Amino acid sequence: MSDFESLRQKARSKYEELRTGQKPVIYLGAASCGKAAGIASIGGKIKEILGELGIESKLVEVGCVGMCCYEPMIYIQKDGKAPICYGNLTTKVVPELIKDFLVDGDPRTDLALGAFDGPQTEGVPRLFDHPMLKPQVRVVLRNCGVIDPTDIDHYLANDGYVALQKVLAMTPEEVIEEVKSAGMRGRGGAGFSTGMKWEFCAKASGSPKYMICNADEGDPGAFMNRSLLEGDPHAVLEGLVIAAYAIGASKGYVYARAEYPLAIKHLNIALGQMREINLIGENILGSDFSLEVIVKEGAGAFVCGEETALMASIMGERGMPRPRPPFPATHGLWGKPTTINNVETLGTVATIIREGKDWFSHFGTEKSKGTKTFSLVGKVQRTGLIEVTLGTTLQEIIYEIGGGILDGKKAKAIQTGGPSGGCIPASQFDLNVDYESLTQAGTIMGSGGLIVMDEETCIVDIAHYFLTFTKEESCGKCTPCRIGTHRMLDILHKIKTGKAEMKDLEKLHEIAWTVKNGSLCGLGQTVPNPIYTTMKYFEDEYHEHVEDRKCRALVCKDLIRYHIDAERCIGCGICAGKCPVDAISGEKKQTHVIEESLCIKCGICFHSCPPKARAVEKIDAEVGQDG
Amino acid sequence: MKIDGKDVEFKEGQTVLEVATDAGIYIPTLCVHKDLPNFGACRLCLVKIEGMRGFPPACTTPAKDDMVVTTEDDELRSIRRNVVELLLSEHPNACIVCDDKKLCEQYRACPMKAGQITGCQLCPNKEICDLREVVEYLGIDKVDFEFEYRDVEVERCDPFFDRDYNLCILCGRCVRVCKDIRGMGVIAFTKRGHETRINTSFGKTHLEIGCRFCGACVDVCPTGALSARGTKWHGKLDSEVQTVCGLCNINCGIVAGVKWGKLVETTPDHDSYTNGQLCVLGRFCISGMVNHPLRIRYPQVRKDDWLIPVDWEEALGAVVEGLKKYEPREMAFIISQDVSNEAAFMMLQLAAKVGVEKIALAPSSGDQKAYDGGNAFGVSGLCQAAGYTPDELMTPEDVARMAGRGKIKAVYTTQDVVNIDDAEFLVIQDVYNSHSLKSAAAVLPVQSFMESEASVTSFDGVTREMKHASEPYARSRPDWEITRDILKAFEGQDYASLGDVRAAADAELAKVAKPDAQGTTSELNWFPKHIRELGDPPSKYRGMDLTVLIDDLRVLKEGRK
Repeated sequence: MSDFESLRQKARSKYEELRTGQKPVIYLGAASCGKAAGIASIGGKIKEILGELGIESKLVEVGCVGMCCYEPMIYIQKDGKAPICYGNLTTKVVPELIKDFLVDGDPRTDLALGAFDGPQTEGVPRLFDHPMLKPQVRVVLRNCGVIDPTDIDHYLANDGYVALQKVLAMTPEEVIEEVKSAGMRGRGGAGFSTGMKWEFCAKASGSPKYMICNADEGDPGAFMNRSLLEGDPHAVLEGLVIAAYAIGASKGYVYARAEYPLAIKHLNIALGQMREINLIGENILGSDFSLEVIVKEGAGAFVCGEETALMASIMGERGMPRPRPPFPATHGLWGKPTTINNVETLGTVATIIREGKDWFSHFGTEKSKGTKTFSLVGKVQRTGLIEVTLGTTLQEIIYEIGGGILDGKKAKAIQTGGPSGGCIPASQFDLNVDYESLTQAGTIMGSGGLIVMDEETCIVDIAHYFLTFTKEESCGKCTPCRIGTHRMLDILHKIKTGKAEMKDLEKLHEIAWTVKNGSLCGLGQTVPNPIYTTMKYFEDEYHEHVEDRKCRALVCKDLIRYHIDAERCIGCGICAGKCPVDAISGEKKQTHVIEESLCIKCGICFHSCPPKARAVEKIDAEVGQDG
Repeated sequence: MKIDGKDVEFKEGQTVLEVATDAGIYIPTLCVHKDLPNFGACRLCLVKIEGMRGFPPACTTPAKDDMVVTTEDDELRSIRRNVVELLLSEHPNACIVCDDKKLCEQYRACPMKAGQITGCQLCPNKEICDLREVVEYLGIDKVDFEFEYRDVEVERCDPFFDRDYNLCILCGRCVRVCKDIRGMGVIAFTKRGHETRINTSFGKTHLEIGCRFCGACVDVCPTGALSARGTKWHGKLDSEVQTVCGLCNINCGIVAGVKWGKLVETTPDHDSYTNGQLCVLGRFCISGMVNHPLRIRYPQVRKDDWLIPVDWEEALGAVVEGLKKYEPREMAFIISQDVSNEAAFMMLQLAAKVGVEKIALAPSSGDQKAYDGGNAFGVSGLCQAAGYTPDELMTPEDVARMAGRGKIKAVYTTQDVVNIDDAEFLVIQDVYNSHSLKSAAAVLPVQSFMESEASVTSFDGVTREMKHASEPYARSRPDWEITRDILKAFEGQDYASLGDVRAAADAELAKVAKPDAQGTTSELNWFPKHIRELGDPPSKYRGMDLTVLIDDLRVLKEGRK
């Protein structure tokens, strides 16, 4: 172990030198989200400016700190002080910023979001005091956006693989017991005790055993796993090695979707580094324990997140679930005992071991321990990747971390658990986010997607949206899921177009019941959740669609019409010019009129009307007829 | 364990469904097939089991001690009903739930080759539809959904069978039988969600992808989605006869479907030792062969260079008279390895009586595979019993060569032989018109193995019976009977019945060692393994190239090249 200790010492001093050195360091938020927001051109610009100014500076690409709404972001570290974070950058602002800060010594507090921990700069607030970060507890995400994910030394310097060293001195039973009594529950959605899952597999007979990390995150609007793998792959891999040790596995897989190229790249880099210093391979760190880990790329089927489908996919078969029993713990990959854990579960494991079960279990509620990451998206001010202790209320998440609803609108509902979850209405935002409370409300924790909706969201449309997704992602094997989703979608379409009758709602409910109870796997069994919850909490809105042919959110095209307010129209002619079907007529500077028989309700006029006029309005189709 | 309050016993490894079926409790299902691994897709066999969450499928849940199972209650009925309604919303259902169903059944409309199957009356699978059975059991008389016809093109681009995936319910039986039983994996589930279809990789034709056209998928399909093209429009069969195939020496069990006295289809016999599996020849070619217009219709005798149809008496008279003109050493008999034990026995008896020593087996064993020749082991075994060592047996080529040199003058053959024209007196006892007929002195039409009773000895040494399934073609007669009459004319032993011949032939065969079975029949998977090793199945019957008779087989062979 002394070899490893000296490696760690070297890593520590290397990291220390980077953090406290006198040479300026510029960190680029270069996870997928940063890349999408244009960090590449920002980085190019920075290099250009640095060259022009003749400044010698280090550029380090880091993962995502979770503040997606501020991308692209960079952090600048100068004179050994804590890096200062700047968000919403453009190629225009960057040269100014670099020159002001690095040449003139002005940290541009007007642009700064805050500084990381360490020696502070005057006038710059602490980043973790930012309203978006302050309510958060960062356990899993502790390194995300802070360290260079492609450099194992950064991870080692931050207590990386301490837990693994500790584990190798324990018996597998002790490891399982530690995780079990910490109260750790699977972060993939179902919330089954992780320790118990390991125990089943450890006790199952058969060899070899397999340990799989499920990185097939597929919920629309969810990116927790991707960010973690991109920003701190070693944390997940350390957890994987620990889990493999606990169950006695000799081979590990990370099943990641091919749509996550950066995550896969970082995983493979990390595995290469681990192999070099014997963190995987034969006789890990001099122990009797050997493990080989490979990354298996999935082709992007949502259903491959289901464990039996995932295993079929690894074995080269079509990703279709099979009935359980037998469970993977006894009959998994190639018929051998197998454990499958979610990315976040494994990302948490090392911390539990390192800090101890008591430290871990003081977070959270009685039955739901620890912290959970969520991707907070939708109509909130601040979207991003967040981590809170279990038991935090939706209210806190939406209003404190998220900063409330966009444009001062009213909140309507929040969807948890992605397409398999349900909608919780604004009236229940005092709900604690933990496994039991969410299940009671008719939804699920899922892997952690949170989609906030405002009053301009039609609830039928939302149900329709999620069902469209699951209908297309159903594997097609079992009848209720394959055809039931299709038929339910038919009915929702009828409702949206004002053609439904009350008996259709009953039928919808009946099919939903059949799909929930009759389907083979978790996908089918949870497909009706969005329908159940929206019908339960927004029954009146369904009734309005059916009985009054009205969409109160003015979303359902067939139930609304577009109209130009004669008094507000300034006759600019923009709408008439953009209308794809020439349905708008009117002389310049005169009031324009929409010819309804021609209108296809594309909404281009509504969106193109100048903000100062706002003359085009969406109104209820039937009210319009009456008027 | 308890099922519906009834105490039942089970064996380790049985599923709840198997236990229930053994106990006489019916649980509806569509995706389960007794030969296939269970799949759990159709969701009809859902039951309730105390202590288990939700509704586990009976077909994949292993039976356990003290399990308490409920197979039927309001909730289960409701799930099943809804599931079937969902299936019917995409499967043409007009006839299934029609009020006038009963009246219409009696009317039995003439099935037409309709482009689209819109109801059971137009469906080739009408008589054996699993879906209809389940609908009747559940008493479904209306479907609450608007019917949605998938409107995918019916696939008729391959030989032998059509695929109409508008009728498919995606039970996956075809996929499983192809992969798990036949070891091929030609078809699979493709696409996702509601668009899921059974298809080949990249949507290629079955021919391109290397399908062997064994038809196992057609046989397990519970709907009319897969149907044998040549035989799908005959409607309900008049009778079915369990018999064995005579095209190779595996002698698979087949069920001959007969209508109007004619053989209209052959399907695999699930009670046979070949476990309900066939190859392309046995499954799709036999009815076409048996009813082929190239069959020889009448006994014929050459008069003034013309073959003239005559009655049997005259024909046999001419044969006997002709043969008597030659010395035994100038004669040769050619025995087809496709003939029955009885036929071969009679030929050998006649040879012994007349004193003929030149016996040839056709085809010669050198250029054939182990299973070629519908009765290769039986025929060679009888020759061995009659005292011929393999070295003493001639080949048809030897006979032709010797005839060319004038050493052989009279030939009595039970199959087509190439270059035999030089024989002065050629008697052909065959099924099909072949080119050697142009030099034949007498032609004796024979019944095929579907028309006459006989026995064959398969490669594993077991003697199996062929049954009389369809009416004899035109004036044809069984091989053994013809030879028996000739033997009688030579004042040989008279065999009164087939039974006598069989008893004598069996006694002869008992003298020789049983052939070494190259696969043990007890191993469930020997059959597909051998079929795979065989590559292309043998495609000659009594010297006749089957690709000449069956167009689709020719397409298959040419497609392979």
